[in-house]
Amino acid sequence: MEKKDVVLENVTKKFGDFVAVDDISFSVKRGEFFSLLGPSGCGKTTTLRMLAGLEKPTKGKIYIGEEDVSEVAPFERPCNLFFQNVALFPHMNVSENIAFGLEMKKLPKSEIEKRVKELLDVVGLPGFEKRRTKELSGGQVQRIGIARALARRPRVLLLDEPLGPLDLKLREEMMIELKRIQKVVGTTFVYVTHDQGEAITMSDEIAAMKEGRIIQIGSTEELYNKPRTAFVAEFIGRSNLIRGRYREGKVNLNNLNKSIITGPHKVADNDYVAVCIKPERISIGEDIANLDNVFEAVIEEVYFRGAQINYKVLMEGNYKISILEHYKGKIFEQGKKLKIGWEKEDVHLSET
Amino acid sequence: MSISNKILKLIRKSEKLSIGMQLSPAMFWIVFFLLIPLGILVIYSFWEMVGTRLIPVWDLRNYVDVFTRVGGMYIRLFVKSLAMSALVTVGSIALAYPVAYFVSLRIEKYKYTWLILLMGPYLVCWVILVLGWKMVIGYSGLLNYLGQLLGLISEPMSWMWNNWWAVVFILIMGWAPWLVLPMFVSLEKIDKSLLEAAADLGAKPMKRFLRITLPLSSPGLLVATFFVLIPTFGEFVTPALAGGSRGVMYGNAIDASFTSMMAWPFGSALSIFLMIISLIVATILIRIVGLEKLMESL
Ligand SMILES: Nc1ncnc2c1ncn2[C@@H]1O[C@H](COP(=O)(O)OP(=O)(O)OP(=O)(O)O)[C@@H](O)[C@H]1O
Ligand SMILES: [Mg+2]
Repeated sequence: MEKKDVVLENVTKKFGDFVAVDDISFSVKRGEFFSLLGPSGCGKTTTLRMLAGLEKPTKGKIYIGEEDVSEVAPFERPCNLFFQNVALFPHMNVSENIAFGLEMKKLPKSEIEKRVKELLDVVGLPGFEKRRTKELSGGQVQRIGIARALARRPRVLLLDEPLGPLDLKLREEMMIELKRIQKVVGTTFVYVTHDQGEAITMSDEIAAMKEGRIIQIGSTEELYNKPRTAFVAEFIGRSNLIRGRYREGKVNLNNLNKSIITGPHKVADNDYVAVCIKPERISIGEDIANLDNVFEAVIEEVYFRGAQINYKVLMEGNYKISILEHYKGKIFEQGKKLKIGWEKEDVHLSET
Repeated sequence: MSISNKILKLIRKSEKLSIGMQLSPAMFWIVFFLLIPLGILVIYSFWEMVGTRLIPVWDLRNYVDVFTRVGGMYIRLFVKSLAMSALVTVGSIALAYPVAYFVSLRIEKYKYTWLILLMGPYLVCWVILVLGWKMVIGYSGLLNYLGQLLGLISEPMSWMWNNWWAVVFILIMGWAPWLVLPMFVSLEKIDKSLLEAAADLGAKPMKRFLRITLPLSSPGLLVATFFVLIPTFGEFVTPALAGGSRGVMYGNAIDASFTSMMAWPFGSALSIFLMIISLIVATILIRIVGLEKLMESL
């Protein structure tokens, strides 16, 4: 069996009567990049804080390495947390911030200096030792926060939306950077985000959370291609969802007296399901009759994105459908009536 | 230069003027309440008094007297008062800081109610406070009464009253409630996630206090120092009421030279000397904290 660095068993956290985290279980393999993905307020920070020991679970067990850490104080846990608000010490400069955790370990001064320098190299800010925290840009603050959390060489690094406040371009750069850092230091990362792009780009495994529960855990590809519920499908990869009732390889639509051919699925007959189709799997055109599923549609909006075109169309039965197509020199215009279609293999069925 | 530029300049000038006008109430305040009485003190300090007559001699004899009169007694008294002030400052901070710390970091419900209650002693005027303590630690006070009643002492202890430690003790008790507020404010301003971050990075409670809480609340400590140290230099009510002959402070010497001694010019010189030292100390403290920080934590 592979080594697990983090294990949560039926962990629940209540604040008064309010259940912030509801009976969640998951495990993270050594060296893995694991993401908790979910909308604001779903309990991501609370989960990380329990791992860090800053919050006590109401129920359940947490293991880091093989050790049950339920009774272990935060300052003795083999993990470090990057705080959602970074929380750099304002009265210390950059190197003092990074060195703090090492001084608590009582490392010799020369060793500390050496490590601080290494860490600044790792996060791409060499020579920043004497900077004051006020003199850092947004992206630099995040990097120093990461360096400080990495300094003690934790077995597990917990990151709470480290790229949250950054603009899109910087965020994309930092995603690559973070993945690179993880490869360099080889630490297990538990990463919290509400941004599906971040989770998909960096993670080996993702746990999708909603209202304190984990809805689905799996590899990035699994969650992308086989979302268990409509929530996951919408949250990851922005799938199109068409609801209906499954019966013998077909889904009879709610709004329309037609059905979508899905082929046989492991769903009981007459169950309500959501048909998920990825925007990039749908064809659009005037003559696509040879596909398994073909519907009439009107183009409502067109977004030209260079390599790709994004059409928002209104399908018969009043379904709003988003389509991504490679640009090959032809654009359909707004208001045009045409056909859209997809093969039965491109369909995935999720719980509604 | 174009006309518009000239007009702009004119406007700028008038703006400067109006700022001057806005300042004038403040100027009036300073002139009326500070400069006039202070100016008179300065002038007198260069004069001489014979009987009840003031003679403008314009020399430094009174300042020389500050250092030499009665074999340097006054300057020794001054140094002793400085030491007492320092002790009072340290003592009242030591008393108030833990209270502020407790209210800010440990109490969750009714924080502000507690704060208001703690500042209750504000309502008691100083004389009543001092006399109240006399009822407790004075010769016929509560402690001596109880001590005798319980047979712990055979006769009243006299060391608790009419000496310099009684003065220091009462000043500490009187100042401490005033200090809770500025220290509470600077403790409240500390982002609690900084303490969590420190804990996460391996700092035990004592280390967190020494490395995070204490340095980040130091502006409050310096504000407290400022507000206790300087007024206490010139304190004369408490020593007059509780100090007896052994608890006399510099402020009482100033008082005496204007009353029983009838030596106004000498008293003026004593006052000016005190003010200069206060000003130096204040400047040093402001330099350390920075004026803005000081104002912020008020
Ligand atoms: N100390 C607390 N007391 C009471 N309720 C809390 C406390 N901390 C968090 N909560 C509640 O628990 C829920 C989950 O909070 P949490 O901070 O874990 O969300 P999150 O997933 O990190 O959200 P975000 O993406 O906005 O940071 C929220 O509804 C929040 O209001
Ligand atoms: Mg959060």
